[in-house]
Amino acid sequence: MPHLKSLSPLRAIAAALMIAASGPTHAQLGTTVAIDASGTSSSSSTPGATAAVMHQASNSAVRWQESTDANQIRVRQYVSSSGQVYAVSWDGPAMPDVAVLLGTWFDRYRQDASAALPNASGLHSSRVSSSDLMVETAVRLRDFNGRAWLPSALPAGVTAADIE
Amino acid sequence: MRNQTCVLITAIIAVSATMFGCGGGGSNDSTSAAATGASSPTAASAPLASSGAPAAGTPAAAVPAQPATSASAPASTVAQSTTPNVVPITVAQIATGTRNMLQASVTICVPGTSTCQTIDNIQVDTGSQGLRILASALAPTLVLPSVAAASTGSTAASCTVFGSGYTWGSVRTADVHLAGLVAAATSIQVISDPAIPAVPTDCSNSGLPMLTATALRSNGILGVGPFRADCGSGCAVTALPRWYYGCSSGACVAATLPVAQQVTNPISRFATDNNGLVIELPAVAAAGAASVTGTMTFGIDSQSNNLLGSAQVLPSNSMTGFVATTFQGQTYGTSFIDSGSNGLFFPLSSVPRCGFWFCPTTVQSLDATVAGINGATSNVTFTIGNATSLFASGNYALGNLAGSASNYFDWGLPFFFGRRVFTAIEASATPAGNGPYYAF
Repeated sequence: MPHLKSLSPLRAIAAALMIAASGPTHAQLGTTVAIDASGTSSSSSTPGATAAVMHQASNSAVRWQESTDANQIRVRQYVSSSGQVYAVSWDGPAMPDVAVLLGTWFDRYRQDASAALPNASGLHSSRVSSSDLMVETAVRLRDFNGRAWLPSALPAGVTAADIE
Repeated sequence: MRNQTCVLITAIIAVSATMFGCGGGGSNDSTSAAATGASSPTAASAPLASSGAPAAGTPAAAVPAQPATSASAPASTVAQSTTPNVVPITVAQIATGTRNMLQASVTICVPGTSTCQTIDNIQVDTGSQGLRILASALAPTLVLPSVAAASTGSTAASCTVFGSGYTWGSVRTADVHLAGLVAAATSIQVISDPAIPAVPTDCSNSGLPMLTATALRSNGILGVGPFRADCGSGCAVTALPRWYYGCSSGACVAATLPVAQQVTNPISRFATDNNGLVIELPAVAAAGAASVTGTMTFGIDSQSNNLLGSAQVLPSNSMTGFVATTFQGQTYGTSFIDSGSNGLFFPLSSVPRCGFWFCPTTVQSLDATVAGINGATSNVTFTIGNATSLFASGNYALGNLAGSASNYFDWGLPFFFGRRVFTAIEASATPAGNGPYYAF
């Protein structure tokens, strides 16, 4: 599915390190992934999907592992220098398995989103905003997009705006 | 009941070929009215009944109306119609207290029969396609045929993921009646249908369930967006996760479903007035209004009450449906006009927030430019108020309600107040070219 989102300056200058490795493709929010000496996390590829590739913005601390599955759902896991997944984001023609991406945070997300329903934003977006967990989802016509992050785990120099 | 009254009155008036739309629409073109009025008093045969009770007598006319041909409108690519095409819409207090919920009543019938039911409190959503109704809102007598899935012996189900959560239910066909128009044997979703297996984990892993009137904040959703089907060709080719499923032997697995069987925008199935719609709501004061009523008029340039006139047409991307909005020097390519969002949502750092919402100390007036994919533009001046004050006002129609979004611009329901907003359906002819487009 084509996306009209233009490349942000940050993304445009991001340098892909183009190295695939072994391990789980989708590390969950809050978990730690192994980072090897070259700065590449472990991942595996599934049939029809692109191998997860580590990206790093050349002028900041933002580093993410990106993969696109056979259904063209793109997932990013933002990884700190110690290997912690402090944020995830997704975009595609269907919703990803959010429970897998959020891991132990999924139930909290659903509780908070449920509590926020009466004054929520309508059918096409939601936001959970708390001191330890932020989740934003948007489904616009046929485009499924969202991101989640752990505010207290953002590395120095990284802001929410870097999570795309 | 209001629909029924309206239809009957119009049917009587049709005899004299001097028609008026329901609920405040204008009069019709006299030439085409004469042509169609003579061929079929469509509205008179439309089966309509009050909640739960099958309509007495009249056999159903599953497909009404001969479209008026080009003889009466040589300059237009749109078949002219005299079928009543206006449905009243409201924004008012609802059980969950949610603001800016645009709602209508919809009548559905067992296809080809006069067994019908009118369901109130259906949210009108230009950001999705297709009718979805809670099974619990349907009378047991309204037995709708199931849509078969591809594999033998299995029935189709749908996991429809919205930004706010998912609906899970069967895919069934119904005659969908809106004003005098009928979408015959059209696929709808029956949410929480007890006849199909419970939600598969695959679906529930998408987020929050919207399987009750409380979670849904309505009895259902009427998706009247810029596409014909909810998913489209993607789901016909690939068994995408969290879209369509085939259910048999107590289990449901992701499956393909042809576009024609997918949950379908009822407008695209009308015999006439089927190329889009115009939503018109009155302007509201800065503090909002307790409630407002407006109109949802089907068709674009098919009758005198849905003429584009001087509205600026902004073609949207044929794959995504998006236009672009330029605001404070940034252009957001993911931009759409959506009655299902109850605020305006866009990035803005200069205003204090209160949670999801903006809470400026005084009302802010802002400007943006919306651009179609052909470069046509329209300037929009809009205002945003203090969300906390607006929520505390006790008003339910809030024109100044806005909140933050990252990297997109969502023109939600406040945009519709004080405007006539057209949504043209993909690959449908209008005098301004084919949809999809927005015009206002």
